[in-house]
Amino acid sequence: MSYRKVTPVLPPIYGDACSSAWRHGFVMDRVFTSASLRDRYAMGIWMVFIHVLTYRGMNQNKLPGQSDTTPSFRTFLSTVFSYRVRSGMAAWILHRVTGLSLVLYLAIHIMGLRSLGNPLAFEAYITGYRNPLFKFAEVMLLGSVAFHAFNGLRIFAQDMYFRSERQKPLFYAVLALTIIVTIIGGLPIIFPYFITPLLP
Amino acid sequence: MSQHYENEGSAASRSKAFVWLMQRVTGVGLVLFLVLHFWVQHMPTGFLATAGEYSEILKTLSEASPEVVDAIADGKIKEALPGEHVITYSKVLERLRTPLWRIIDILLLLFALLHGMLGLMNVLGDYMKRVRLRKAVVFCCWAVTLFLAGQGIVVIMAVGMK
Ligand code: HEM
Repeated sequence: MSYRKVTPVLPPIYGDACSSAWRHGFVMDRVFTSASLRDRYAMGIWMVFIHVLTYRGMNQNKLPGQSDTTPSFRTFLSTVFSYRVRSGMAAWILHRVTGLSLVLYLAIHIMGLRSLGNPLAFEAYITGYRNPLFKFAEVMLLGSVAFHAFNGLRIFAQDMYFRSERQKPLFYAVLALTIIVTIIGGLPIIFPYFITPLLP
Repeated sequence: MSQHYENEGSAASRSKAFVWLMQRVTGVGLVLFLVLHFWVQHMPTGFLATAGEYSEILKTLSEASPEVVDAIADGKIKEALPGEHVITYSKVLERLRTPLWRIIDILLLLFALLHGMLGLMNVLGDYMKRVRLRKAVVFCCWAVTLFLAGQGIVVIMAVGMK
């Protein structure tokens, strides 16, 4: 197999904190340099994205005389559906995706709040966010923050106390807490928009 | 089990350990700040205007400036729905008159920015192995961080200071 090992940089006293993916049970210590098809197929859900992104370009770096490696569409689909989502993998991907979305939102949020310099502009800015679509997005935002926070605390706790053998039940606890908090916090947000109008 | 660690004890390794520690410290701080922030800005409490209060606020604003009348007519500013609680300038100003709230908001801003941008650099570093590219990206991330921190602090400090 053609892959390069990423060597952990931190001493063991920090847990396995050097590579977030590791601790989540997702084998990311294979960084594919020139992956063969079989190697590509060896990894998890994360590779689905890579697949979709690179499907059409797979032969771009083909050497002269090398055979065509683009899989048939059926092979492609069956591979994509053959991945199993393990909780560690899901936790890692969700933590990363929520973290990155929150960074993007934070930047937009800070730039938007410049309207606080002028009361009229601020009311207009807030009105822009007050429509059903954005109320739904607000609840999604709460969900992202809740998941990221609970999962972050789980990572923290695991680094300190449990290491990974308790990972699965803890992850389910994170999911349950996220759902509970999102529903409890989300209801007051969506009530005036989606529920009050339905009441007689 | 003995393992070999690249750069063990080096400046790069220490800096990674520091970032790791910062992610935990800022993460735990953010839990506190974000709970407060959510309670104050997204939940139906006295920190937001009720539909009735918002109507009054819009009336006062309209009397003060014809621009507001136009903005309401154009739908750029909308009345609150029944039962809705709205973030509004005067309520924000009222809260920020307490210096402690200004400090809390600035800390929230700095913690979120630091945590988020360090996280972003960590993610980007996972996908960029070329040293010079990585350095350039880290430099850009810090520039963006400083810019956003400046923007945010100026905004928070400027509310009601005119
Ligand atoms: C609510 C409290 C929060 C907690 C407890 C928390 C916790 C954490 C922890 C412990 C990590 C390190 C993960 C690791 O080493 O594997 C992390 C990563 C990260 N966080 Fe947070 N976080 C919080 C809020 C936020 C916010 C508000 C943002 C966005 C501005 C954010 C963005 C990120 C990003 C981008 C990463 C890097 C993700 C990665 O390496 O895959 N976090 N968070």
